[in-house]
Amino acid sequence: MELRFTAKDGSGLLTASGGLSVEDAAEFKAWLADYLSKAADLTVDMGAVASADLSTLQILCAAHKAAIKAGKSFGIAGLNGAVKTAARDAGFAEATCPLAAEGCLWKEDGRK
Amino acid sequence: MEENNINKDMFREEAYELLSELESSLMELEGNPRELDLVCRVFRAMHTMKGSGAMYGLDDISSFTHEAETVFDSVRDGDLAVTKELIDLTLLACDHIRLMLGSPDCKDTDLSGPSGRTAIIASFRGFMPVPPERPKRPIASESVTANGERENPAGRQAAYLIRFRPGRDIFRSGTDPLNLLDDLRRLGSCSLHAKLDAIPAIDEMDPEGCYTGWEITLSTDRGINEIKDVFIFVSDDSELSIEALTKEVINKTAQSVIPASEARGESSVRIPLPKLDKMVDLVGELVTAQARLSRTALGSDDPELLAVAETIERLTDELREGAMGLRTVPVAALFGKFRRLVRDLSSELGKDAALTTYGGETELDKNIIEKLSDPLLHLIRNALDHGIERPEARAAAGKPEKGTVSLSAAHSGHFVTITVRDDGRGLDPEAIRLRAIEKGLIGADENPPERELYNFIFMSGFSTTGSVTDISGRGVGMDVVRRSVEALQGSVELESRMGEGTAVTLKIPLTLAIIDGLLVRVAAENFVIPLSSVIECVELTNEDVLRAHGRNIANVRGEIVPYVDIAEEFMIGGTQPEIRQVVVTNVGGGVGFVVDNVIGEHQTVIKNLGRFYKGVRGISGATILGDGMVALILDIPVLVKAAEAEALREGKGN
Repeated sequence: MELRFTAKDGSGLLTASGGLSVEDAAEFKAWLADYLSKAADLTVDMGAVASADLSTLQILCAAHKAAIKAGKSFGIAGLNGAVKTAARDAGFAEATCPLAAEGCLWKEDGRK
Repeated sequence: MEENNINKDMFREEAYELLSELESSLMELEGNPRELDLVCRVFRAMHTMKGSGAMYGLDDISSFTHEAETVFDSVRDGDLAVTKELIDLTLLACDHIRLMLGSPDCKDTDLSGPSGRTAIIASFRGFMPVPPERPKRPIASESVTANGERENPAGRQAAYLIRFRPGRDIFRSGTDPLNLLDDLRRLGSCSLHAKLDAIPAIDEMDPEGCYTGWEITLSTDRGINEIKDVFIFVSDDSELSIEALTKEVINKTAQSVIPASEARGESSVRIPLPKLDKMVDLVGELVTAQARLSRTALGSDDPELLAVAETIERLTDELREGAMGLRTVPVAALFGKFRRLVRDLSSELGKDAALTTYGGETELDKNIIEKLSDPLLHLIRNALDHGIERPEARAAAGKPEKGTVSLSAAHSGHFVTITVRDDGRGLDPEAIRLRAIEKGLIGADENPPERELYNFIFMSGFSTTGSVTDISGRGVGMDVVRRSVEALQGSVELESRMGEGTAVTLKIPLTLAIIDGLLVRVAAENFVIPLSSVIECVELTNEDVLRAHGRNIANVRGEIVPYVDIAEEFMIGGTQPEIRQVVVTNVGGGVGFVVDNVIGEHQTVIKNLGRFYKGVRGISGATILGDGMVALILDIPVLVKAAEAEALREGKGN
């Protein structure tokens, strides 16, 4: 797993690449939580992620929930490839979530 | 056995609705192939059809629909694009499902041939981006032996609802829940949606914990034990339930597949139409009784009775409005099926045309909608066959190559107007005039105004087209259209401009049960003329009659208006008043009806005459007035035709 963060005017872009699985989950969560706390507006670009599993999807969801709670903006860019496949296989595009009204990461309305 | 048949009927009713919805969505999808919402709609309709079919044991339908659903599952995932070929095939599949619904046991009898079951299924499979990983399941056509019996009765398709929420530590136990979902997919066709409500905010979560649950519908021909086997190593630490799909469960899962923004809070109940009709009848009776009560109260001077009568009148008014609305459905139900007709027909004719619709939410009595289907069908066929030109001709005329046929509906008081409009070549008044001369309807030197010329179009056998096609041109259709609409107490009007197009407007009363009528009197007899037919009332004096020299014609602001004398028509004796009334109608180009007095507007609850009087010419029904007297409802179109025929006979006799 590799993460690269760039910031501009309070907006952060976190670019992830490599494989992401439950083995990387703790590290991914820690970095993501840290960057989210520092930016008012965070986008995670998952386009270059080679593999992802349920833990990856859950961490992204959790980040989204935290952002909503804190009144911040959070979204995913580059939802294709491995992450998209994982989201599809896990039924996330058809998910029910109590925060659906705020926009869902896995549907068009919540992504960036 | 009886219950079985009832179930099949219920399924059929639902399936026809689903097919309508499906076709509508497919038409829209063809125009918007990347619209995910539409793809999901198509998928949902197929999914519900498949599940319901499985639930009622209608395996032929269920397994057939499954093939189409699989392809659209891939479309939904973005692995397959929507193409015209896919839409064509899916529409063909809809026709095939209709065929099955039409058979007594919903069995598939059309197995071979280019549009048979085998060919359609093979075509669907040909669309799949990768060969399906699922093991081949026997389908009806493959598993039929020489005796016509199924080889594998145990392979019966069934549907299940699985609720699965793994334990928090499932990852730590070495299991990835997504692998379990893959195992389920290998058993059959799945649709799943995740439940994310338990995922906490990032600071509170255990990154290696599992917070996700799923609700999965699985259609499979494996037994429940094989499904349980998928979860065998995790079931102790997970929440798991597997239930065979019932109607309630199917409806709930279909609902849960709908995005939250679309899910409605409404519920509805299916009511057999005869029950509804009976209810509307009773309301009609109540309206009549209420009119009598009001009349009695007015004549009684009893303030308490008056107050009660007023309350009853108010409540009856509300009930009447509600009852009239009970049997009404949006006309969109009718419009939807024409979209496909336009698509198929324009293809057949080598033309390029699309149907646009407006006012689909306009509501009309269900009975009336069913009776309008054929007339509208004919008008649309006409528009495509004779109206819309071929693309080259349109381009040469400076028009867009794609023609437009539009269907619009709108409320207008107690009526609904439905207009079929095309932007085609329009009617040629000169051609109509020549044809009318040819048929001896007008003299060679006569040049009637366009409006009158267009009336000829509605005559049986009148057609200006040189060629008769399978579709139209025999000159029979427009006559039938007018008669069908007039039988509904409605009217038809035609407008056209050469080179620009034609519009045919149908004006239909909202409901047949209660209409607005004009109450008239001849001697001591009461009659009602449907207000929809009435243009105006003018006086007819003895002098007017004398001036006409024995012909039944009146002069209305310089226009000659032929009339039917109701007293003559129904042989009603008695002294006629000095001044009578001509009720001028919009039927037959403006025929009048002469009566002694015009009483006024009257809300007419229509009663059938009963078997013995059904054949009486010129009377379409009866109504009971507030004083308990009966008023007969005049059948204006029939009376006009009879008078025209009579005039023709007299003319020939001279």
